[in-house]
Amino acid sequence: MDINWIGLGLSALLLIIPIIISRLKKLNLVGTLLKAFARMVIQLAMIGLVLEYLFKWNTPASTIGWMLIMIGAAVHTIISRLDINWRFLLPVIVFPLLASSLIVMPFVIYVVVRPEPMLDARFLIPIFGMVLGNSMNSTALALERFHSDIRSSWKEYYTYISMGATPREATFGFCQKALKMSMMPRIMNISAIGIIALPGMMSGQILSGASPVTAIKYQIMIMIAIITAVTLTVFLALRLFTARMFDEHYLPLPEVMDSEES
Amino acid sequence: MIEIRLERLYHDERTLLRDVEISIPEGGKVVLSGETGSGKTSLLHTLNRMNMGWNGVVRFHGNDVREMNPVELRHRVIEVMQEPFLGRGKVRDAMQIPFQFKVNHDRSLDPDRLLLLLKSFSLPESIMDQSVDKLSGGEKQRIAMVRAMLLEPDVLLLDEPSSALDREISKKVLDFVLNKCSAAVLCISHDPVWQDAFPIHYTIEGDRLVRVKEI
Repeated sequence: MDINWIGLGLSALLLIIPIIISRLKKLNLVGTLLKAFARMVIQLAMIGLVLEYLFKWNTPASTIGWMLIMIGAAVHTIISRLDINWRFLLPVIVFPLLASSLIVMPFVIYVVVRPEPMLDARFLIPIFGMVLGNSMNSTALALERFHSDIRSSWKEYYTYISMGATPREATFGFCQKALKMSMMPRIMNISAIGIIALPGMMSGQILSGASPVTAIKYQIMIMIAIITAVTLTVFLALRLFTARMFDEHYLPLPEVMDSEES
Repeated sequence: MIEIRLERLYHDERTLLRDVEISIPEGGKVVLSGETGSGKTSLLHTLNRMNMGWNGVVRFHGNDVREMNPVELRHRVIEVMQEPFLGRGKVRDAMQIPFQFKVNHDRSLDPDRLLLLLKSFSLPESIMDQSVDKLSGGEKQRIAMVRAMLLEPDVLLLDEPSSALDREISKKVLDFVLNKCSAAVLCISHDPVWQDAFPIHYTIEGDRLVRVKEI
């Protein structure tokens, strides 16, 4: 069932409630709230337009081209979230995101779902968006954690290399923590699905008329795709980060070690 | 076995030392003193490449340390930091850490040598089951030295090893380092007892390294 435009406009009336509360309690959030909504509407309108065309053309070139733009946006988001030199970060993020996408997406398309046509934009773009969005968040979090851990526990690193450890051996504990931190909440999340919340994708499918069984099958598949992509991306990103962070003496590069100071 | 010849040792742009010449024979013991910030630790770190701010040449067994694989170099030349990091679990786990590195894959912790070292450093055997973060500063220093010595390096770099030790224990550790340890030792110390006991003593005056005495 579609929502008509007048109905959608009326839904904005509900916003009167948060606005009144904000006013009453002097939260000073009305402007921020309205700006956020305006931004969202513009962004959604733009993406809606892009998706209309992508679905209409539905050529492999347009679909894959758009997926590359999505990767670019994810890379940009991670770089702006981390306080580390972008030249250093760029390869550390690009290769893992590409590699995990190239492993997970073809498997989902060619082995699991087999849509007609194979590179159907209507299928690929939303699935890839979920996989990529989750990989992006986890990578940013894991690298942030790894970077801050190694800076606050530099003595641990120095002690290990001063006894003959390679950078990979000396950072093993840091990598382990970062990887675990990015996987744990997702695993928790998986076990909560269905009882605590119906995931967005499943709700969306049900609302648009798919049978619950179909929605459930998609949900299970997407959770598998996400946890796999997240783990692989974070693992590779940590590997590359470690490989690039240290010079030939195994000492950390000053621009990575000191980026927050000054 | 060790030759340090530096034209200049620097930190950022500041010159710490000029015209440094030290040579240490196999098993030789050298103590280094000087004011805080004079470059003692920077000099110590030229040997294990933890500091690369210098011009000149540092040789270990005739090899230029800059051309050696860092792992090869650092498992023969082991440093004990002034406030060492030990580990997060028990002392027993901390002792095992270096034996998990690939470079030590053919070696394992020798329990007899461990007992001997603990005893020589006035540490009870029961300390092995204590948690690392419950140790005192002096205990940490000694545990770190025991761990380094278990690896039987050719060279030990010690940075103020007695700074947290009381007089009695300090003497025992000193005696072990000088008389029962086969490794060459380059030791930073401000402790006059240590400085007098070492056969070779260098001190830093201004930007010069001066030899205090020779026996």
